[in-house]
Amino acid sequence: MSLFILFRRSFSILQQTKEKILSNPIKIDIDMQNKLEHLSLISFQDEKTIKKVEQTIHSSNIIHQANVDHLQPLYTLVETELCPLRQTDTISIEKTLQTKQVLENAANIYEEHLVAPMIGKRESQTVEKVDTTKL
Amino acid sequence: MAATAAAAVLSSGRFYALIGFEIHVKLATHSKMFSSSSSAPAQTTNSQVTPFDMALPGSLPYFNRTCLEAGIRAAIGLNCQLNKISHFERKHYFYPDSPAGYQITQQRYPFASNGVFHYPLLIKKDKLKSSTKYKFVDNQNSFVIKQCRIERIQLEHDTGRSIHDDHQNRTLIDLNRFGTGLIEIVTKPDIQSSLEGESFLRELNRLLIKYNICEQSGLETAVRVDANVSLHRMNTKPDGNRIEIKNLGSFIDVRQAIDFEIKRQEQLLTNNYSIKNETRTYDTNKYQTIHLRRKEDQIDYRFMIEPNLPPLYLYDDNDKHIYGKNFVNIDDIKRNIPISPLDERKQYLDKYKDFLTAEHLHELLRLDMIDYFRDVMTHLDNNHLRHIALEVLLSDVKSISYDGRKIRKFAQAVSPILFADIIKHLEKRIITRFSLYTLLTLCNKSRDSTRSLKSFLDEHNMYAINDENELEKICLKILEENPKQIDRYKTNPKKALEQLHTSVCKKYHGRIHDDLVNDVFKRLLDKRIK
Repeated sequence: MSLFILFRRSFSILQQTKEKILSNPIKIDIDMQNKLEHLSLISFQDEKTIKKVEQTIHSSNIIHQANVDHLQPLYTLVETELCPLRQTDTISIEKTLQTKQVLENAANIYEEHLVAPMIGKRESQTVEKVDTTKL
Repeated sequence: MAATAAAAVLSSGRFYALIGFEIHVKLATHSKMFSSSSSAPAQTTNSQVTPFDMALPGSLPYFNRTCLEAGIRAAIGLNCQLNKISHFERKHYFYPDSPAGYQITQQRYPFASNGVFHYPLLIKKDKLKSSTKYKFVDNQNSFVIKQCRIERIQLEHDTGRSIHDDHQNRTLIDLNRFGTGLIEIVTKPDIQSSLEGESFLRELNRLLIKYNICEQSGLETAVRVDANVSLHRMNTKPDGNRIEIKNLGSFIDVRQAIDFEIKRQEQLLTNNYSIKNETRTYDTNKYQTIHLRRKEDQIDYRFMIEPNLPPLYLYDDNDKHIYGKNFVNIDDIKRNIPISPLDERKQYLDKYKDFLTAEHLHELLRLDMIDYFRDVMTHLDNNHLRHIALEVLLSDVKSISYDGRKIRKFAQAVSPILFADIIKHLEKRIITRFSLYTLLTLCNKSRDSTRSLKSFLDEHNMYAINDENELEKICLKILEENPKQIDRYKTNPKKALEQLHTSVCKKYHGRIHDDLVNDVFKRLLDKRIK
């Protein structure tokens, strides 16, 4: 009997929470869309995709209803362990990959470099420019 | 000149500047921070890469103890509080030279924080004019010491190397550098001018090399600096807005970028524009900073605790009952750390107070000669010789090697032992003061530090002529060749002696002591006149 009451109460709380969320719909504006695309490297191409993202966020918002005031986050499963230290500063030839292994899955390579499409300079990076057509 | 303009802005009394640094230091370790491939620079492309460096599935980080010890030495040198528990975090962003899509760092939970670093004000020759209002030496025996608070020091790793190929619209990636151990030193905005900034960085560079934290080359290759600069009207509180200048790689770039930015912000404030948060970079060709991005475009890095690395614990002598030998004891490192550059200089001033002043030491520091000076002093056994050596360093050697790079090359060519030998010969009058510059130049050019002094003197016949009879013969010959000077001696003896002295030096390549030859000339000329 008490189990049944507990179930009814949980269901009722869930219903209330869902109604609360539905009354505050999520809307992704153009700035937020640009930010999410930049962070995820995924293009949201059309309205349908944006709507799906909004609905997903909507559904996930239920997590904020949980009372976590008395809890600490579990950042890592090994939080009670001590960070192990590699005791010697020696180079391991066995663990170092050969260059051909590093490059074997790359679609494009150039003079033993991995090739990536140009996506613009990152400001904190020391970047070299080279015109390989003249090499 | 930006330097003069910036100095004028700051000395006008209308504005004050706040400058802070974020300094990335490449640690001097053989292997990387989280993997055991080599961290040596300039190796064959993509030849120093482990599965972790490529972020291959299943690979995990394994933290290098030597990186931690180097970080702790930096924290001790910067008088920081060491946090016994710290955490690694992921800083997320997408870029091809970072295969995992994040960098492991310690943004919010660093291992060291709340430090303070004391540094002497230094000046380079070209800044003399615009910095004449600065006082460098407090009194005979002490420098003007400034201080800068350290907000935090965090451990992190470097990214790979990107080479942009604009013509082919692609980026070439070399992962050799990925995972190399770094520490990031973040200061509070206590610096107030480019001169203070450069002085701070030079002293920090000295500390990093002395404590074996980074490689010998220091700021030029192993250290990258980001500067945060803001200018405010006098008697107003800072509003928190600042300009971030990224990736400055040399002392000169740091100084010029700060000076340019101070002048630029002064113009904005004078025209009633406000300074908004912005990231800029320094163009070394145009000598100016250029816009990169605004505050609104700032990246959201979505920091989270690194789930693959447990918390980092540090121990000290009080925790002996807890830790095993596999963990790092802070007190062990403190006991073995060398003396700081600042304390070392105080020691010199005390030890050599008979002849060494703070002005001398400041000049040695400015010329990057302090290490060479220290090594030479150890090879001379009395203060008289040491005094002569100091005088020669600050005159002849300064003329030959007037900047840091040249003095390092000089120190390799003319070893401290050879230099000490030269000073002993000078003191014994085996060589003359006049020939010293030529001798040092010859030794420097030969680049053979194993060669003895005797071989140089024999090859170029540089022994001083001390025999009185021979001197008299030489002087008589010079007098015969310069009869006009004999007449001139009657009316203007000083000028005549100078001319005769010049003739004898030219002819005998500085092998004759000034005092001896003047005495002989005087005696001979007085005799002739009588």
